Amino acid sequence: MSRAAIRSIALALLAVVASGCGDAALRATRYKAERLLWQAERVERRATLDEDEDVDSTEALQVREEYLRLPKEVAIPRVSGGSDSTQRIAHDIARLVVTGQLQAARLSTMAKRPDLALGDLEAVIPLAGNDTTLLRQADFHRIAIYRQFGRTQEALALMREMMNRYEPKPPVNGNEDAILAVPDAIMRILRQEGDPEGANRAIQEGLVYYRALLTRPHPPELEAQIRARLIHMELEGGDWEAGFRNLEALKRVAATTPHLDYLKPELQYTEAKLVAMRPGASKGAAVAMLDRFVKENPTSRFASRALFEAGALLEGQGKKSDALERYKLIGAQYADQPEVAPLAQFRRAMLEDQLGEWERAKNLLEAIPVRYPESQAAIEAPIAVARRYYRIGNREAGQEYLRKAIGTYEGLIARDTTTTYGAFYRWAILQCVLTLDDAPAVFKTVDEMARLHKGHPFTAQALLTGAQLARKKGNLDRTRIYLRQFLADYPNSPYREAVQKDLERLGSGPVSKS
Amino acid sequence: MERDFRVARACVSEAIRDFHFREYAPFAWILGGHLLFILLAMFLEATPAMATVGALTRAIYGDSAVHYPTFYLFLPSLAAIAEGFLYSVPAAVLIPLSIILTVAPMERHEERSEPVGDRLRRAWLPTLLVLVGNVGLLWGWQWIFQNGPAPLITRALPGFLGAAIAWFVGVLGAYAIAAVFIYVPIVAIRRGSTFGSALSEGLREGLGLFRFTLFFIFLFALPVLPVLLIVQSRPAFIVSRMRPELIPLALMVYAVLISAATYLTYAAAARLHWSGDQREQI
Repeated sequence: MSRAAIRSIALALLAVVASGCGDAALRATRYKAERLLWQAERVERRATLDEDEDVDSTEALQVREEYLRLPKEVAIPRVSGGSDSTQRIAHDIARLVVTGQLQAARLSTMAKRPDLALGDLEAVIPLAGNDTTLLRQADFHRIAIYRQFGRTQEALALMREMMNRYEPKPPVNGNEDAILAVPDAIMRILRQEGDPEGANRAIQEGLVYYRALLTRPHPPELEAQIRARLIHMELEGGDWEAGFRNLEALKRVAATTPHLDYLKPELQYTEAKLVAMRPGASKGAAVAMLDRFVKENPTSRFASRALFEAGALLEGQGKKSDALERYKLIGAQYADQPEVAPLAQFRRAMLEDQLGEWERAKNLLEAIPVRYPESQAAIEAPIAVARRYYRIGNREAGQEYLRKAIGTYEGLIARDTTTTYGAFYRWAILQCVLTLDDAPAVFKTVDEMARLHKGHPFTAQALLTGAQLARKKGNLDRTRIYLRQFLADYPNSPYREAVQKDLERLGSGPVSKS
Repeated sequence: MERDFRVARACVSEAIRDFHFREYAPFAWILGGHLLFILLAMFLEATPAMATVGALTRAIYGDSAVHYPTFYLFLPSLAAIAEGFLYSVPAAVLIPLSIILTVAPMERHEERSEPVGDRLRRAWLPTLLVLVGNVGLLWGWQWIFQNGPAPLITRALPGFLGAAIAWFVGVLGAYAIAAVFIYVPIVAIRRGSTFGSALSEGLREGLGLFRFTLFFIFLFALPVLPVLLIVQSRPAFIVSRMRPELIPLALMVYAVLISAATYLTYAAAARLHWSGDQREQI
């Protein structure tokens, strides 16, 4: 072979190599990041960390170290300019490294180390740079951690911060940007925390937020989603007139944007709900609209809610059998929807009892904590059975059932010791032991709540209840301890002044528990 | 000398017993290229590897193929392409060189004394043609087989057994095609051979000695077959259930075995061809 031919072949090979060199270093880094993430996931799969079981924290932290290899071993390239491909690869690398950091936070949470988890999430900020998608992801993780470890106030503060920090983005494949759901989430958390006043304030905040968003121009899909959220918030706030106005505006947007067809069921449901809310309007018409909606859109995410609304309206009209039919339908067709199904089962039990079917009602109530442990209905159901026995004068059966209910709640606490429902279960236990007049059990529950659910509104209530019972039993030391704890943990409570005066009247005494 | 299975067996044992690294060295160069390619594929997170093997992968399979661990699903096919290139283009020079070194002790003085460069210049073009043609025919065979007999076999015998039988029939067909072309470089290095005579005589010899040659190829490829079966038929299983890095390791084992098998096949075939020469001289 001549030298010229060899030189040509060598040059051709060099050209092939050079053609791949442009992004080769970035692609190689991305490949390494993908390998590290894949290996960490593999280690986790082998570690058999089951979130439903008690996780071995040492093992979880070992897996966490595998994920942390990503931020340690892969440097995120800072690309300014460059081709689309270069920027895309650089973003891929950043996303992979942040994913590793977020997974590390998840494992810290599994290892019950919120301090580490929050530190892991803090570390995302410098990694994500100006990428708001990654920063939002980290913030949503932080909220989940705050919630899991009962740090509700911090979760709420962060959620409010996020509303200001991140501009909502247009939907991707029809999926709404999670930031739009934040005001609704704040309202629900506050309701769940037993703070209706806070929930009402959150509704007002949400209204201000959505209305402010609508003053700026947005693509039609995003505008439609903001308006839909606004209408729901207006419904929550009972402002049906504003709701109707926005519904009409939303209909106009939907009519001019063909690919917003998917909003039609939501519009239909909202209209029916608004009709039901309008003062003086015929409830029969609202029920007919809701029924029609369910018939036409049985798979819509609003179908179960529409059935429940119809049931509630019928109950209000005294049409118990018709209401019962709706609740039964929810149990049959939408039993997997935790927002509506437990509530429907509870209402169904109440109606069965009213229609003389107590045994069936009792079975339904007893099934709620088993089937829907993390629901308001699960907390109310056992007490409802006991109350029924008291109501018919069977005090012994009522007491026996209260003890059984305590066992149920203790079982629910043992099932998941980190559940956000822990305060609710203990509050329910407190109600039971108060009814049983079991003072030691009352004090034990109040002490547990003060220790485990500090800052929770139910704990404030529990401290005052405990203080009241302690005084009644002549235990003034314990009364003082509970009242002092109340002042320390709830400095902004409207009852603060009254509690302070109460303490002054009691005078000073030893602070240790007797 | 009459060429029968007894002679063929003798050629096989002679090829194994009389192994000299000097004769194998040209194949070692091909093996080096093959191993280098797999090594680069194993370390794709290094920029030079991404700039070469990664760029080639992207050019053939697109960007989605250069991600971890997806890359390993493409690696057996990619390595087959690299192998096809190495065993046809550089091999067009290196295989005749190895054959020249292998048959040297058996040749007459006037043949042996001819400069190696002259013999290579005569042999490389017909060798390249048949080796490239062989790759093309193998590709055509694979296409026909995958779209015809293979689905029939896997439907008749579902599960791993059916897949293994279909794979084995496919490999056997490929070996049968290769057996026809194997004598072209052996004939091409001989004194007085021309481009046309190398092709015509080589192909005639390939057809005449077909059963013996197929026996050589199959016999020497036996240790390769299990490795090839696992890598080619279950890459997804290895990637998802085991470690993706097992694929390049298996391919390295395969590269070493196939290099030895190819060398031994040519060494045995050259001896069988030479025994025919002896018969003519007698």
